[in-house]
Amino acid sequence: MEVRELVTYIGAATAAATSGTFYLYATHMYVTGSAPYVPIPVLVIPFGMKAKIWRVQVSSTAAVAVQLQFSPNAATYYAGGTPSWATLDTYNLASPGELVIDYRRPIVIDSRYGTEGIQLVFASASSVQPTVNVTVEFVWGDVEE
Amino acid sequence: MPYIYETGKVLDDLGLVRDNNYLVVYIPPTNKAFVFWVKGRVNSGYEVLHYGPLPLLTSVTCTGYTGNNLSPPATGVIPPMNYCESLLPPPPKLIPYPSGNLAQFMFYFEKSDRLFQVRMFVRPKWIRTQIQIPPGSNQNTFNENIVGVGYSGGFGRGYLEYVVFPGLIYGFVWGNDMVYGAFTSLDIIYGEYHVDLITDPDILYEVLTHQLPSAWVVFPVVRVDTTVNDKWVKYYGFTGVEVPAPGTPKQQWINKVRGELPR
Repeated sequence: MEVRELVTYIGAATAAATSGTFYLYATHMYVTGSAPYVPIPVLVIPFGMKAKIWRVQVSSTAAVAVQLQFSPNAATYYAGGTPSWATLDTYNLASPGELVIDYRRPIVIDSRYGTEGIQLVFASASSVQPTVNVTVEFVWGDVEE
Repeated sequence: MPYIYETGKVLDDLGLVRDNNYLVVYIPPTNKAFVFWVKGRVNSGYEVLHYGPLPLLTSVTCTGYTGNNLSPPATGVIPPMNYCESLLPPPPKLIPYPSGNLAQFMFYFEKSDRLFQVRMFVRPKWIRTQIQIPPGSNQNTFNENIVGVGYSGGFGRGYLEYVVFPGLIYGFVWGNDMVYGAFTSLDIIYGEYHVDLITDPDILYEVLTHQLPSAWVVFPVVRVDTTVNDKWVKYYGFTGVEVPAPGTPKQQWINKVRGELPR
């Protein structure tokens, strides 16, 4: 049976900085502040599922460049390792404000081994604390698509 | 829907059996079936039930996919990268003081003229699902090897469907292969049916050979546990009727099964 779950992740930097990683949170995520119940910097896609990234929104009080990155071994992050990242897309916010990218065709990431995942990072000339909203659709069972 | 199909227009928009229709529950390991006449639905008009969070208890130790066994940090929260067993007690605000077997399984009943058809929808939808009849009895296999939510296959995600027989308690396993703990949620569509067990061999033959329209539900087991067998005998007087192979002459089949049917 085909299953689809649409999730909006809210990402925030932990502090103002010239670069950093977004820690993702969603309303169904159980967060206490103590590991492992904390917002996640790396989203690993469950085994055999697809993640379709439909929408990315970047908000910042100063110019910032946000990158959506993919790693085939993202799961190693949770085993104390260092994944290797490749940039899938970049969102350049040229001045304070908001940038919304609504993909007409989503970025599709297959979980072939159960280790693939994404992260969002930012870089800026000045110290900023941007936020992102990412809409991800998890899909299971649409094997013919 | 993975377990149910129909011959004729027997199911309604909710996937439940319409009143005054036949429901066949097929038992794969024995090639037998029970045929029920669904006379009416007790919960007509209120088939959707929001259960609330999954009944995951903090007292349970789950099994980690990567070795880190965790307990649910709060009731209804599934820990990251773990799978957990649970029963299905009634939601507290539905039946505040359940007792006996009902306290373990909200669909538990002890009448041969009742039957539940249950469809369960779990959130987040990536939650791996598995049913155990009875609890602790792993019934998911691949090519005769045990599989399930703890393996790389042999599970559903976000959905389960089954029929509840009298006197039985069912158990469940829920798997979360996401890297974070999640609040869970369960919605149920169910039919609480008034049924008559069909034992007339003429009607049985016509239903089982699709000459009469019916809904077919596969009982999700690969072996019939003794507990299950005993309850069938207790409430129905037999363990199901053999499904005729295509082309089996009616009288030949009736002669074969007549002795097994309850009088």
